[in-house]
Amino acid sequence: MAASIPFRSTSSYSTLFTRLANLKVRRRSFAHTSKALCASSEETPPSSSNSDGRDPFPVFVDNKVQHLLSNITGFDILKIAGPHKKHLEKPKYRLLTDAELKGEMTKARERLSKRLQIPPYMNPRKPNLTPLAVDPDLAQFDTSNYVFTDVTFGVKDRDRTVVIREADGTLRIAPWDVRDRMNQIYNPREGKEYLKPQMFDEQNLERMISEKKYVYILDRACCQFEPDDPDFIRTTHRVYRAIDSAGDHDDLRSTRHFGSLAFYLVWHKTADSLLLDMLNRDLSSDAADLVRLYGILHPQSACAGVLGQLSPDSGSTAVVQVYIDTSSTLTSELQLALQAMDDAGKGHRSGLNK
Amino acid sequence: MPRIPLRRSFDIIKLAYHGCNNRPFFHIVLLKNISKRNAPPIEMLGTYDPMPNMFNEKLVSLDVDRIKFHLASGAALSKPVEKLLGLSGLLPVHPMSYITAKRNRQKQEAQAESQAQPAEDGKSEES
Amino acid sequence: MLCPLRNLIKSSVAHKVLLESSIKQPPLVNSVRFRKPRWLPIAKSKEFYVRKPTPVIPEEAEELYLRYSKYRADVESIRLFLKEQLSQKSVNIMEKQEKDDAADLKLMEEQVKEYNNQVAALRQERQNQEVIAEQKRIEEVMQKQQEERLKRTLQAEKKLEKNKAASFIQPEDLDQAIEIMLDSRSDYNYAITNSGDVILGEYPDQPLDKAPPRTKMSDIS
Repeated sequence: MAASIPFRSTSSYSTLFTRLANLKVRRRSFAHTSKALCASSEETPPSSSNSDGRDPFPVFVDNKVQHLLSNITGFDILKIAGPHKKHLEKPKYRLLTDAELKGEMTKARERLSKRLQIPPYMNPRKPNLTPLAVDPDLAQFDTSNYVFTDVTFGVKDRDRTVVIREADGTLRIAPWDVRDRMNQIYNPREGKEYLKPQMFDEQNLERMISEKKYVYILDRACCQFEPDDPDFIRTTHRVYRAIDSAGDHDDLRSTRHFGSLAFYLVWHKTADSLLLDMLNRDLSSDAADLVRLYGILHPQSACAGVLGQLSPDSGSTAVVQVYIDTSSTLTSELQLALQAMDDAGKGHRSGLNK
Repeated sequence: MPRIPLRRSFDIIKLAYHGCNNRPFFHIVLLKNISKRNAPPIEMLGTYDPMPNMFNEKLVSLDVDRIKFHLASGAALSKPVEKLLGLSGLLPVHPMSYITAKRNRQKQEAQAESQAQPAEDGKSEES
Repeated sequence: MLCPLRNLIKSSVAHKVLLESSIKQPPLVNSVRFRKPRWLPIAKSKEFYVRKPTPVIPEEAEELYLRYSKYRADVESIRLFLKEQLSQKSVNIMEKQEKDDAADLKLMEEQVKEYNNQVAALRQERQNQEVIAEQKRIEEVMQKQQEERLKRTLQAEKKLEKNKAASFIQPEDLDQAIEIMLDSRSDYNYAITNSGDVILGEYPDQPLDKAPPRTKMSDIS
């Protein structure tokens, strides 16, 4: 009898215990199917353009898509390696042979290409509302909540267990904002603030957008937020839309955000002005890549069907023509731009291919 | 002759005060039971900040893996640590936490009653 | 039974009261003074101070008792569970270690075998080449020797040719040579005495002075 007591009495706790232990294993799933959004969901475009509620992340991480996006981004060394804030130090001079210089240049290019890593495009994360334990006997045990953070050696920020014991005795997984704050407290990151900077508030953001500080906003958002943070999604999407409507696509070229911008516009089927911009700048291969991206992101569309029948070695003009014929909204302007680009290309026959 | 007779020595997880005046802050540490409170710990297992922050939260960090290891290898727990671990869900909730909660609730009820009483009196006087 | 810590018990009023009461065995109170030395008396203001015991509410006490017994059992079982997990983990680690070690050993053996084969192939090749080189060398040496021999033979023949006339017996001198040969007979059929005298044989066909020279034993030794 005496031996049986501990076993019987622990059953409720041991389940809780194992649940908590299992938490460590559980990872944030990327498969958010619903479009449940944050408080500022009215900011997002109408759901009809939101690609029938598919999850963009698996599409985004697809190798083909990544390749296309990085192709589109461009590689303007002066822009990527351009003026950056850093500590003053004396320049180093070295005598190099031609071969060594070439090696150094390739190394520098590799280093710079790391700066062009595209931030992931994800659906907003969903709050976890199911409590781990409800204990009404424990209500009012204290006036404030207790936040428990697992700081086991080697745990990554995304896998960290953070639980909160609320004053009414409920134990639950901490909401995302608390998690982010705890991560910043126990594993601080450079460039990230403990509280959300005021810059990301609605009016300040609008002001900065009107001042066209797009890259600054996007860089700061990348530092501050997780890619599936509703705030990140709201901010970046607002900036993308502002850029698209102002036609400032070139500001983001050769930065890490251009891929995200293109993906966002193509995902929401509003890439016409970006395409027009590319054609006006004689970036024919980029334009073709954008249309191919459209085909991949919207496999059900008419454009994708025609693209599939097109021979793989057909020129970029033909690919863009397919898009103009099937899915464009700015048909006449695109047609004109394509015509102009073609004529110019025939003119000096060199074809500035990117 | 020692003032305090020799005690059995064992490992214990307890709180070590590392704040300053009027600003408590605790480290959760593994120590020998006979060592001083702020002696260099055998191992530091977390922190506890008993002053609520601007979001009305008290922050506790726990090195869960190591705490589990020490629990398994038979380290004792001091009462505050037992309470914290109980609240975190790592161990069952400590009985004293329930008692405090009960007392707090009773106090609050009494307060609410005493506030309700004069209000009712006032009402009756008005009518 | 005497209390072993009797000398530590503070002689407070409470203690006096206890002593005067019916309890013969005083409680085991380990009084510790940290600030004041032990021999100083109790402060005047605290002389008659008796601490009020913490009030115990019976309901709460009962609840605490129940909860505590359950709590302790729970914690103990969790400890046991963790211990088991830990031991399993360590066993797993050990098994894994053993497996890894075996795999490592196998890999190492394979690598050594491969290396040996490689080295053996290299050695075989080297040895073959060495054998060939040795044969070649021997052949060369043989040829050299042969040439040398040939040269020597030729030289000897030449020399022979040169000396032929001087030492060889020509057919016309044959009789004379035979005569000389016959004349130069020597008789060894003799004995030597202890004193060294030569005693010739039965048929000495030669005069004594042509016999071999006398040698004495003393000369020899």
